[in-house]
Amino acid sequence: MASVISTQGLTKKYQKATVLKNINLEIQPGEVIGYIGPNGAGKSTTIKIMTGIIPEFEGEVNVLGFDVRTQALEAKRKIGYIPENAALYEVLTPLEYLSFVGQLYQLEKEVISARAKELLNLFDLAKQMEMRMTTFSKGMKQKVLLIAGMLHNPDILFLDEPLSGLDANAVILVKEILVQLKKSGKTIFYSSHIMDVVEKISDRIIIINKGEIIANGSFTELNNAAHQGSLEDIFTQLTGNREHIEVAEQFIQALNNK
Amino acid sequence: MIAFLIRFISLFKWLYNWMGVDFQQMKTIVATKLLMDNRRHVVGATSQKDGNVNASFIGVMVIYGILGLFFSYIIYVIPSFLISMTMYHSYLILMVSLTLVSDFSSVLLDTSDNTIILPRPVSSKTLLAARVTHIVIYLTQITIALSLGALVATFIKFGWVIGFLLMITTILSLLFALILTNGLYLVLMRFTSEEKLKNIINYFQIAMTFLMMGAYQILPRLMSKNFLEDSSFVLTWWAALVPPMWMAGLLDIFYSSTVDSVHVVCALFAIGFSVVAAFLMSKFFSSTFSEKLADLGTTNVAAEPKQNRSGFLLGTRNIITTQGIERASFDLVSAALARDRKLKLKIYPSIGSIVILAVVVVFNGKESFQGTLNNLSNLSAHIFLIYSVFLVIQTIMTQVCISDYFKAGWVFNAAPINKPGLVLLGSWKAVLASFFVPIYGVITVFVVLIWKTNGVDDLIFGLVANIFVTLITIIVSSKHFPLSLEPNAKNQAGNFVKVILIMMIIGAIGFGHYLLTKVEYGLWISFPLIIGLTYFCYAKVKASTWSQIDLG
Repeated sequence: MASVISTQGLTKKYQKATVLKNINLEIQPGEVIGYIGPNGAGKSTTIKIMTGIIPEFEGEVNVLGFDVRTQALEAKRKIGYIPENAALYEVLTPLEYLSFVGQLYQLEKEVISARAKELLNLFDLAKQMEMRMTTFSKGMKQKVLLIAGMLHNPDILFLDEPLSGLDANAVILVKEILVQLKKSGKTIFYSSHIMDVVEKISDRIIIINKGEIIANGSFTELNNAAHQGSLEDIFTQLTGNREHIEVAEQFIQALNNK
Repeated sequence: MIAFLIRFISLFKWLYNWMGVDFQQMKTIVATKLLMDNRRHVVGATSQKDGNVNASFIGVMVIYGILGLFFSYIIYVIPSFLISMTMYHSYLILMVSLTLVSDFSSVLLDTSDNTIILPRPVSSKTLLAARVTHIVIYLTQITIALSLGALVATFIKFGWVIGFLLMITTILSLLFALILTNGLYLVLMRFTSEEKLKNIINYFQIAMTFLMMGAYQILPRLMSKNFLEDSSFVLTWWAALVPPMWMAGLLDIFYSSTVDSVHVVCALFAIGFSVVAAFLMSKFFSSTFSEKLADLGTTNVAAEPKQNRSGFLLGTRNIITTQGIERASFDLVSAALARDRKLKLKIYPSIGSIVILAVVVVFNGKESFQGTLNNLSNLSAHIFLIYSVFLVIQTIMTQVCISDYFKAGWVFNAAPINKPGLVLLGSWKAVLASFFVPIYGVITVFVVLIWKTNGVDDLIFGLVANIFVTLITIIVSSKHFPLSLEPNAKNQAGNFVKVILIMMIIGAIGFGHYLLTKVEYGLWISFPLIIGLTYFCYAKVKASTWSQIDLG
């Protein structure tokens, strides 16, 4: 089968800094990809390029057969994007916000309203759906964002830190939703810091460090490639952050310094 | 209101479709933006009701309306049609551009669109159209307030043909201002970083506020100038370089029926520029604009390390503050005063008001400059000037408690602070060192230049008296930690009764000072008293307890 996401020689530079270096990826339909890396590794930038938000980059990126540089609109129609750090219009109510987003995808008003209400209800937000989001907690906003990203039933879902701020019950629910989405043939590409979630639900794990892919394979593959232990161990080994015990010791030492 | 505006936009559906804009999407975005505008400034933002009244917006409209009335007067009294029209259009373009930069920049450069709208299937053309439509709606409301007075005056004085044409040139001026500012943004975005762009906008905002205040004082003074009474003014070739004159020239064709090359060139420029520029904007700029905007949110180029505070401030800091809590508070507040844009926006215009005040006090008479100067040194106007500094310091002291990041104020409550009075003192000293000392220094130079040695004793006494009143203010006001109050209407306005009280105190001190100058050695005799009082207040602020602190 043809790849749904394919990048060739993807490179992104901001002024002098190179954020992404020669990223080559082929992602098959129905795959769940866990995209992990330390802060500032280029995770969000990769996702923003794949979703057509940042049109200036070097190399080729195709999503669902569309070149995201020239056919961004066609690609955007079929993908869902859930950004990090709860970016939404807080002065609106969840219903108003979802109706706004739904209309941008040219869904029928009745469809939007019915879907939004049902999804909010499933996320335990039924009581708050007519309240402004200024007072919402981060987790509540994250739920609204999750719905906003999936309202148009996209073929590929891009999630940037989808679990941040969610309480334990919501994390389990979102995990299950991702599993169900995968079963219905959707492709999921998400970045996260929560290693055990990535370990459990990803078909494939891609580790990026300083703009370069340093590992790409299933959890068992990564595990077999001479690195033993949990994903967390593999991650720290690969990203060259092996001295964490030593650093922690120095940290305590520094607190005791006079 | 929103429903009405949207229905009105729908009349132009064909135009949008013709430009290749997705009308449904655009309508959705504009309607949502208008809804959010309505909710933005509503007093008591916690209420869940749909407030359709935007208090601050109405306030702006009233001010603009008054300025507009002023221009109806100008049109009525100035004999030269060309001059009055040039003035009107200059004023319109200036006001609209400045409003766009200062008031509307947050909407124009809203980077939350990056994550909210850019991932959706919305073409950059549609997004730009939505932005422009949103701006045009906003501007139309403002322009109506600004131009209504002038339009009515024109209809009455020059008849309906000129009046109707003035409506057209008003719209052309609006377009011109819109293109001007949009172009400015594009250029700035092209060449500067986000941080610099925000700084530049900040300066525009300061200039705008300053101008609004100055306009009331300075415009009436201009009125008496001779050149405005010259009715024989004619258009020459250089009018082609001055956009407001294009509009005036266009109107003059119909007013005085002169059709010469200069008039025709003006008319062509007036109409041509707007059309061509609008075309260019939609053709070339739309994609650049949203791309640049996308970059605004994402560029995380490490900011070059800034040179940390001036040597003067650092030097004084070590002398006037004690180690620990007080110095920490001093550092925090002096850094905020130097960097927080919102704080600067509130502070600098009030400093400007002193300058205007000085000009008004000094050059009030109709006499010549030299005559005024000679008279001045006999008057006691400098006392007025000395105590006007307090008004600025008072504004800063109130503002320094308010911050967008008020939530960070928890540190004061979490830290084991045994003497909260030290926090207040540190903050107070930072305000004095950053603003009071420099402003008072300039005033000292000014007073010594004009009043010579006569003013020296007043300056010394005034210095202590000013400091004394700032301390009194802290004592009688509710005490807040710096940067710890939410910026809402209640906190911004302050307690009216207390403000009046403080004004009375400064008035009394100023008047007392004036009376003392009438007594021989009066100032010198009361000097120990004011020093003593100041020290007493200082100790009182320092001894503030936790129960006296208003945690908001």
